[in-house]
Amino acid sequence: MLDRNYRDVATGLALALIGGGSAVYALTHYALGTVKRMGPGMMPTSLGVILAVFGLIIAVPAFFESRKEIDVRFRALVILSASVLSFMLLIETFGLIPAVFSTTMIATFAENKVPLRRGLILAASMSLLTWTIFILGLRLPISAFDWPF
Amino acid sequence: MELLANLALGLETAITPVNLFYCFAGVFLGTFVGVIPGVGPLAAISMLFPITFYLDPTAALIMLAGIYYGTTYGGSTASILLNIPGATSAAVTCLDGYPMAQQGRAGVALFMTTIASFVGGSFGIVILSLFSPVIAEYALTFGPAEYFSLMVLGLVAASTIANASPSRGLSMVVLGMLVATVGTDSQSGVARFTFGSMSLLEGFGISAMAMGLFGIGEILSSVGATRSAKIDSSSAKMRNMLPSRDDWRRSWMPGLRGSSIGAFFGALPGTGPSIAAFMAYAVEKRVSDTPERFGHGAIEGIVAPETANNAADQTAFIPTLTLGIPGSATMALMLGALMVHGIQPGPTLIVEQPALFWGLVMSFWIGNLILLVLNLPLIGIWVRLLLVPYHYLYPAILVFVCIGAYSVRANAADVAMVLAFGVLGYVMRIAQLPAAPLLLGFVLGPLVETQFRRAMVLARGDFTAILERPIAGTVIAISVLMLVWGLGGAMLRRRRKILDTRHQKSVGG
Repeated sequence: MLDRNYRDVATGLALALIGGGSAVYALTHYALGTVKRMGPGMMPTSLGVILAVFGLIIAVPAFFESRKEIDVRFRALVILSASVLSFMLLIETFGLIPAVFSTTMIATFAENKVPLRRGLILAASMSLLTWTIFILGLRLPISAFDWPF
Repeated sequence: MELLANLALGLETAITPVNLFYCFAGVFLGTFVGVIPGVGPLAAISMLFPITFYLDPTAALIMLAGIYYGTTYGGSTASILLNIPGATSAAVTCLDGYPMAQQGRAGVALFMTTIASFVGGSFGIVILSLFSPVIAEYALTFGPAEYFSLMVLGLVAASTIANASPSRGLSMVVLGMLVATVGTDSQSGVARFTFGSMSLLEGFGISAMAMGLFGIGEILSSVGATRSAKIDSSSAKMRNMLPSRDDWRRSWMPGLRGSSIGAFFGALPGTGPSIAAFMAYAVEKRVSDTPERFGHGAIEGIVAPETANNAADQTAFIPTLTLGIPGSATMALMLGALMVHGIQPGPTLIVEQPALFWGLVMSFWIGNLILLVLNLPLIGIWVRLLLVPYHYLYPAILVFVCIGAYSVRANAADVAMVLAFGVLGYVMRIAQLPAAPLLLGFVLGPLVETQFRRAMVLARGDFTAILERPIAGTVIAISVLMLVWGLGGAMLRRRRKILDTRHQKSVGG
């Protein structure tokens, strides 16, 4: 493999692709109008073209730069996403406290630094805290416990 | 002295126990929510918006305004301690506030932020009460061309000060504007980029975007990473809170400039505390004898944006109350609160509702005073937040972001939207693309489009007609200069770097 800054090449090309794609889509789907009376397609098309140009400005010089190290941590990404999604699934079915408890609990697994017992204590105190602030204090229309069946 | 009589009337209104209570409640809640990262004024005000339906309009507005500028005070706390802006207007404060915290100077940074906020806020209030009629009259002469050019200037300025290369900042502004076109076009009613989805007709929510990009994006990129920065527990002691003589000496001019810049940009529709903070930071960096200190914990880098965003918070009410044009989404909510009570803000508001207008103005000052008194003793508590290990803190932040995302519209799907923006923010961090210009482009995009289309209709499709207008032409010229300077400068630097490495290679070889 050649010594290139693949991070910037990919970044620039991705932006160019998004820009170009949007421009083409807007151009083919929405009326461009005239300069005097612009249609809905004018702005997205021009923005897309400008974005594509900037993408190339980023990508092209990167071909001549040396490689940069990147650090992607899929473990944290997957676990934290699961944590947020659990909130989304539980908030309307089981209520605030189960949602907060599970979000906190799952989130602690993203790093192996919180022992299980302390994680449980953290989750319980977060449930109590958010209940106090949002239901008792701010009176948000969310139920603390709910039962979907 | 009509002004004095007005201020006396305002004080009379603001000092009633009921209004005083709601002022205190507003600023306290605002600071509290502002400290929680990822929950900005927009989410905070949306959450508390329904409560104000039961209050009289003056009290309602006093409380909402208190939340608004209270969040700005609190937002900088999260910026400094966690490198997550609690509010978008505090995003710039991260640049130098967080390095200061890493150097163990978090207490000093928070102390100066509180002082700067009070100074900026007070300055903004003076401007608001002195120049409100003048500025309103001046802004009345602005046409779409002027609004368009000023917004372009704001966007260009914001993207060229981002620490990454100008082309990255500019590309993010453009991407943000492109994302903002998703939804129903305000002029033709055509649904753009919705791909048949009903929920996309409204476009993306700004709070979802802000919470995702800055809240979750930050957590994703911090969790699991090796954290070398050890927090010095001694920074939590009072002794280390007091700024040194050198800090004071460096701070007063940036504070003055920041206040002026903030008061100016706050009053312009479309720009607001965020742009004001960006601008103030950019100006400080340019006029500084030692620009290389910026981004590494320069005290000017927090004083300037903090005075600016608080001054702008206050002057942002000028267009909202005198013209009925909200300068930001937050101001649009303020406008909504008034309209719920059957009050239509506009040029006649000051004359028809003097008690409301001047009561609000005086309550701002009382609120800022409360914040000063409230925050100085509480700084120790905010700094102690740092002593909580991050692996106990991030699940808590995540929970607050989730609840904030959900509570804006009580819609569970919004939580997934925030997560999607969070993943985008993480990818952008890996690609080293700045998130703040994206958000700014997103907010200003629709306004730029509307004003540009209006201006072109008025100019009969002739772009040079915009350039011939004195204000619009000048502002466009400044923007172009900034653009050329930013991009050209970056190109020169890169060429020099390549030449340098070649030179070294040839010498070494």
